[in-house]
Amino acid sequence: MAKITKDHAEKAAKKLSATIIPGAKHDIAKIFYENKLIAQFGIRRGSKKDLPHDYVPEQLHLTKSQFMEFVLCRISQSDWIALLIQKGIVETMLKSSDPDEKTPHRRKKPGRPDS
Amino acid sequence: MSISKFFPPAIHRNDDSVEVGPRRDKRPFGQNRRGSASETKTGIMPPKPGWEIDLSELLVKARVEAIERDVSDLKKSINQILNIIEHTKAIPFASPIVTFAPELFKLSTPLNVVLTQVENGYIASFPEANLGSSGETMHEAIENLKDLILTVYREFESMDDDSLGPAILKQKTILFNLIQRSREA
Repeated sequence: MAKITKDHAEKAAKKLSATIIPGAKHDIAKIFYENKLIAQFGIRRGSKKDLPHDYVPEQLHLTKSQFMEFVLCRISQSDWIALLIQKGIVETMLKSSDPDEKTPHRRKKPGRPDS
Repeated sequence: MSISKFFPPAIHRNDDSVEVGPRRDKRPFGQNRRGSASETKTGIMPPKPGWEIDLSELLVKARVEAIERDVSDLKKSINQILNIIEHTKAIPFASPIVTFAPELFKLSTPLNVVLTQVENGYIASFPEANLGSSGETMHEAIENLKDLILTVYREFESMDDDSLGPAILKQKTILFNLIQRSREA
C-alpha cells in the first residue's frame, strides 16, 4: 500500500473544494456540504512533500485504498458524499416528497399481466 | 570461565627455574622413581616430552570452538529479537496526553492517543474524536496532534452547532467535554 503524503492530502482537499484555515503547525481543511461542516482534516505545514499523512483517509471516513482511488480521480466527490450518506455520517436535506421513492420500484415487464 | 583454569600460574623458584602448574615432582616426564622411562609397572608407554604444550593447545582450541559456538548462538538470538522488533513496529500502541502546557487548556481526563509507526515517521491519532497528525518521531507526532486538537477546538468555539454535520458535532461534543480553557486564559 502506497503511503499517503502531504501531496495526496492537498490533492484531496482541492478535489473536495475544502476551505483551508491556516494554523500554527497545520492547515485545517474543512469540507462543507449543504452549508454544514461534514469533515475536516489537518495538513501539516512544512516544505517536505513526503510528510506522512496516513491519518487523512480515516478523517474522510474512507479506507486507504478508497482514499487513493479518490485522489487518483477514480472516485468522484459525489461518490464520496453518497458513501457518507450511506454510512449515516451526512444527513442530506434534499429529501424527496414522494415516500415511495425510498424503495425503488420494480419495473413491470411489458406485456405481462398483473397477478 | 577464567583462562587460568587452562594456564595454571607459573611457580618461580629460587634457582630461577620456572615450573608451570601445580606439579611438584622435579623428575623429567616419563621417568618413574627408579629413573628409567622404560621401567613402568603397568607397561603403559610414558608421555612424550612437551605433551603439556600439546594439551594447552588442545584446550585453547576447544575453548575457541566453544566461544565460536556461543557467538553463533547469540547471533541467532539477536536475529530473532530483531525480527520480533520489526513485527512489533507495525503494532499500534497507546500513549496518553495528560497536559496541553504551556497552552492554557486543561483536561478533565487524559486523552488516549494511538501511535502507529509508518514509513517516514509516526502517526498519532485520537480515535475518539477522529483526529490525527504525524511526526518524524513519536514525540513530534504527539506534539503535532496536540496542536491540531487545540486548533480544531478554537475553530469550534466560533461555530454554531447548526453548522455542523453529525460526525463533526460529535467531535465537538467530545472535545468540549474533555478540554476546557484554564481560568488564567
